[in-house]
Amino acid sequence: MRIFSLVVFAAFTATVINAQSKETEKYRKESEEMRKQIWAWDKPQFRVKDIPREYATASKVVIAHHTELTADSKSKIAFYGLGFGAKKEQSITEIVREIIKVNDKNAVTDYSEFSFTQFAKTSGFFASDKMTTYVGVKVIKPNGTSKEINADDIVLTKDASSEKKAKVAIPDLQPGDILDYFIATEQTLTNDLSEKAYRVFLFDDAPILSLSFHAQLGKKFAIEYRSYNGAPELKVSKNDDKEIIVDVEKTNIPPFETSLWVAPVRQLPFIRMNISLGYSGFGSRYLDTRKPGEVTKSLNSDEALDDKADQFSTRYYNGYWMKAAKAQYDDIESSAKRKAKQMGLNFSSLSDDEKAALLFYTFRFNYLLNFNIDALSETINSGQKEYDGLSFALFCTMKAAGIDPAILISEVRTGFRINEAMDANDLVSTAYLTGSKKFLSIQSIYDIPFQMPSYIEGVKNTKSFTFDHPAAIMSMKKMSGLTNITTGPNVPASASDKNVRREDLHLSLTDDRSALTVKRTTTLKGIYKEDEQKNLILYEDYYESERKSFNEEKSLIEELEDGKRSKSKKYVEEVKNAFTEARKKQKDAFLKEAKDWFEQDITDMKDQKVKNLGVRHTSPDFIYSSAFTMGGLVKKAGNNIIIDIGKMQGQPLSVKDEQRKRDIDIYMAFARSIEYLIELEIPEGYTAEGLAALNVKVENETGVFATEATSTDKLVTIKVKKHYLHSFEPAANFDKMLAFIDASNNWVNAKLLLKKK
Amino acid sequence: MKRLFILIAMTGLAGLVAAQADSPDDKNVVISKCTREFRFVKGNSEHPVQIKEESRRLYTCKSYRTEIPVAEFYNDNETIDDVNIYVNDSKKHGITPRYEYHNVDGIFYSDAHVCFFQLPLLKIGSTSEVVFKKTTLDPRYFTNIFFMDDQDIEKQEITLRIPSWMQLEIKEYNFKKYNIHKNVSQDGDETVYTYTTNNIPALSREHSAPGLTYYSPHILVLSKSAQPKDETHTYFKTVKEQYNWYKNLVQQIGDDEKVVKERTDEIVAGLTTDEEKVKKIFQWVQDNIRYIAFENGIAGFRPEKAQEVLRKKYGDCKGMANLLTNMLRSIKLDARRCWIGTKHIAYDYSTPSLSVDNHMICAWMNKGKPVYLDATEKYIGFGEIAERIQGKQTLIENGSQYLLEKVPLATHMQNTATETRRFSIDGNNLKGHVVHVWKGENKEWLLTALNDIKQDKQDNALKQFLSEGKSNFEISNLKIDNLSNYNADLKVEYDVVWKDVVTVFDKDIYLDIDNRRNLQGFKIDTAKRKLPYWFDFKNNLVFETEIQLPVDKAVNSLPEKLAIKQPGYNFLASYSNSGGKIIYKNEIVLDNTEIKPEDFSQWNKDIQQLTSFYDQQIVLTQKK
Repeated sequence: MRIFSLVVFAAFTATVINAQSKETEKYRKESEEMRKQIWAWDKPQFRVKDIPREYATASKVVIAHHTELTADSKSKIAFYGLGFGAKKEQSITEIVREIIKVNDKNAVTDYSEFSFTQFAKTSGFFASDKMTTYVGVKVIKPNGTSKEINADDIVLTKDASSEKKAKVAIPDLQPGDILDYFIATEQTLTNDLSEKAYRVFLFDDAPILSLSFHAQLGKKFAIEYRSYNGAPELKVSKNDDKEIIVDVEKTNIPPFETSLWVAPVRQLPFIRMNISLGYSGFGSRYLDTRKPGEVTKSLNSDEALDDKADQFSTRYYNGYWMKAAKAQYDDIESSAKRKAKQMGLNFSSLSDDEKAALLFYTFRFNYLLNFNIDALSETINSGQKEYDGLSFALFCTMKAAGIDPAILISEVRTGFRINEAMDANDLVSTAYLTGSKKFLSIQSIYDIPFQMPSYIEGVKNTKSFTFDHPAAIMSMKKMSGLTNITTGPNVPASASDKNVRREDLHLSLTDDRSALTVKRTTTLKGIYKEDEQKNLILYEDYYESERKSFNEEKSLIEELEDGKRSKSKKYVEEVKNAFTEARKKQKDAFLKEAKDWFEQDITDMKDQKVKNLGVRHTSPDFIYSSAFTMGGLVKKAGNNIIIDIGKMQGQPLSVKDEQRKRDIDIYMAFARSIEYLIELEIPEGYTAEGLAALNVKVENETGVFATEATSTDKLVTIKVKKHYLHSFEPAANFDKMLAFIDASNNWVNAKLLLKKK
Repeated sequence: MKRLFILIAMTGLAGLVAAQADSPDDKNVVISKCTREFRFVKGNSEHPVQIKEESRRLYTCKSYRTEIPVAEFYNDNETIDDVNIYVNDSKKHGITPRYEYHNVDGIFYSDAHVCFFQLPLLKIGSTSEVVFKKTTLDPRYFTNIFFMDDQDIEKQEITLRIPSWMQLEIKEYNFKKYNIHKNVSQDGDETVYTYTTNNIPALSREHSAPGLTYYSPHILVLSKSAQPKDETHTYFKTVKEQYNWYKNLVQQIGDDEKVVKERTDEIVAGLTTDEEKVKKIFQWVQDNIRYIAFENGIAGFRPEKAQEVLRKKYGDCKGMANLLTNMLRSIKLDARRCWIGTKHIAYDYSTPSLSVDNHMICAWMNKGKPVYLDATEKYIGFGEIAERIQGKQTLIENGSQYLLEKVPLATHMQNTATETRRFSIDGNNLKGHVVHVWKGENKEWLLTALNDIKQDKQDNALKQFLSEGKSNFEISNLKIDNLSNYNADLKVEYDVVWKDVVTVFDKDIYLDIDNRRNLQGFKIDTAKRKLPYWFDFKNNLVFETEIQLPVDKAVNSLPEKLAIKQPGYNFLASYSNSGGKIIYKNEIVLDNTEIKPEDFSQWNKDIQQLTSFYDQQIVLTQKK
């Protein structure tokens, strides 16, 4: 089902009352007019019926896709209750019309139902904004006959005065038909000077014969635009009425099939536009508005960077400079000092990095791991929460303690390049220490100090923000002019041996020799850790581990039993119950994790244990262990036994046929490695054979897959390692990647013979 | 049809809260006391007999504070008149119930609505109470009352107050396993039925399980007639009245014979026999009418006009059945609409009620014998019958009368899927030709999956499916037969090089030739599973491989054969060696789709044996 997230004024209502309302009648007329006008467009691309031969087997072909955007504005005098004032009304109409050849059942299903999130009216003191959407759908049969949907085909699933939601099932749509439809949205906005972002995507998973965009913006509007990744340039001009005219067109766009390891924002063509109502009146300097009629082709990221700087200035002023705000960071420092004392440390004699780490842990413990009985379930599930890096809070925590921090402003390694940013939100921020250039970032409670977030690994051309004392700024823009922008450090990229999954597996045959008894220890390092930490670590264990690190005397439960927290004696039993329940589920989580990783029949899970939480930079590895029985790998062959030892890898990533031809660069999440140390006990009365055939080594500049098997009388030892050396590879290196990826896949078939003596 | 939905809605909290089934709150929150009273009252001229329900559920927190979702469903025939929420006896809690359209899976649009909110339980031992007042506007829609809920119910009292002017019958289901006590008393003019229950466990939600009516204790209320004033209102005294009600709806449809006939004549042009025509029309409807269900109000029971379904090219089961009936009749064939409850429902028409059926199909009366046509089964062949209606009683229209027939049971042979391989050994690889043939519901399953895929991706998807995503199973020369003729078997054949499947250790060759391993490891978790396991359909999976032995090799060892024969299923597998060939045969027969909990342990043992059989290899050795 194709779901359009559009606001639709649903005049085609199924209820009699609304159908007869004046409003609906008005809408019917407008709708009629709109349809007449759009169907009459004199655009040759909408008359094309022949599909190029190369697309004959495509599921669907977009014959033409056109967007028509018109924006107009006017000022009105309005009575606001306290007096008269001017209000600026703007109306924006966006019409998207698409004509599609629907070739198979899949495409029919795709287009057979439209769900509209519907009509919404927002009313405020100064504004009453609304959206009205008109839809039109025609089905054109191969013989050229055309039928348009009517009111009876549309039903309402929400019929409130402030919002209506509708659905329509497209009648008589079959493979071979052409679907011609439009969705036109009229928006009325009052006193809204914000920028409206439009994007024109010049790619699709279906072939597009013609894609075009035309905008006509009233002379009071302003536009900023930029083309990305080889998208054609917008043609921007002004007509005699000083209206801004924008056009772009591209024909014959082959289908792009979203594939493995793609960074769409860096690799696929599209155009961004920011359209806003220009304003040059009183206060425009401070509102940061564009001038009416201003046309800006975005050439660099200066504006985005300035906006980012302004945002941080304001945050700094309100969130740190103001006394009450700073007090909370002072509290963290005091708490860290107290904890240092408990731990037998002298805070002031610690190095800056050591102080930063302790402050980080204190911040995490006091705020993110804080036990809250009023949000018991949320507290227990603290591990599932995601944070945006908390750059500002970490910066302030360090700053308040007298450590010299800064905020790194950079691109995301798979997002907009820093010199192509159009919006402050295109850039990300990360706190770091200016002395050691070490990063501090929290995306989850499992993050440790000095580990850079994976999304900025390897980025260059960064900026660094620090902030001036507000008293030194003699300007009206006091709050927004505090940021000092300097060149930031390059962010290193982690190597494959820093992001590791290592499996230590000790195997022996079960007594009936039908399965393997597995003793397993898993060590996860770097970026590999977080997912499994979320699955396997209990809040209670995490809290207790941290508490002990701080040399806090009492466990959380003991503290609650003591009644030190307000009324905690009364609820301690509930907390115990909830913790017990969570612990029961941990065993299931271990079992699921093992099944998911090995993709084999795993039973009799026992001795499951988290050995090291991996939440401290001094002990960063996440280590857990368990024991279980694994079926499916032991085969009887006459008197002998064959072990499908290659299947201990689970099912490694395999690159499918249709993904093997590649001409775009490869963006992976991070450099990484997977290693196994497998020890197999040779049962009494057997010898191990076939070891030589287990040895494989494929190594090149992109990665390595290597195995090494050795044996004694009693034990076979196999080391397996697979490394993806970089997070990025040029397209030209794809074959090299395939070489070691395929080798790993082939090794799945590796077998070992235990021969009866 | 909407009846299935009603069945679900009547369970109270089902549906919306399904995701909560495995939450730790399962035993943390219980319904310590539930009282539900149903009172038949005199209504107005439009709805002369109504049923007023007042339900009070007192939730108690047993272990730790939490929130639970509460939901109550309603529709055009049911109104929610009042909701009262008490948190620790207080109405000051700030909870506002939300009322929304309820999206039911598989139904495009219906009148289903839901009233829902999150109910806090403030601390261990605390209670929260929810009181709903509801009205059912017509006794026809007041069908069953389920005694289970999403939480354990410690004490429950369900009362029905039946005035003397209301005639009904109450049927009890699945009471045996539970502690349920019934009392009938007279209170003035009213007969009062009171069911008290102790410790009813929470509804168990398990996949591949029978429908609720098979296992949940409940009563079915069969409203017969009422004389609230002078006039007598007859409901479903017997199946005859139910049929008449349906028939009356059918008479209101307004089918346009002319439009239907024109299209039908085009479809059957050139065909001579009746059977050919029926086959063609059936497949035309399967191919051209999309399943899109509108089930608002009476549209949940009355089929859409045949000409409208033809125009829109979509419809629900009733729309398709009615269209088929009209199309067949337009060419002078005897076709009937048939009402039927799918296998999901435990009832038949011996208990006339709207809860009995949830589906409509068409029957072509071929020389007086019904041939059932269900066009919602998109890829099933003519004469093949889906498991979900097999053996079910169906109400067939027959003028002013009706027929009650049972849809025939098909055997596992209907759904046979065979895979035949002819291989030779080539170094470390097996090389050869493979032929697959799928019938019945196996064919339907595969065709459904294939047609969900974009046509230019189908070949690759099929190869992926056949090779199970393994890159060493290299398929070439793929040929597909009968992709669009559902009346013939679906056949796929291809050449394959199966790499590295031959393992050579010293002079011996080891071969593991069954990579399908049907049902391997298909054990049932007896610790968690409480309900019977239902397979989607009966099955017959036949896998055969023939391997030509190299001239210099002889068989050293072949696995022992496996023969498990149980009521309901057989697992047969064997290797043989003759004429320089190894022949492997594996046949899995499921001729009963249900495994009962008492048979789980035997099933698991048999699956273990089957798995152990698969875990054996052929050993070839050098001829001396």
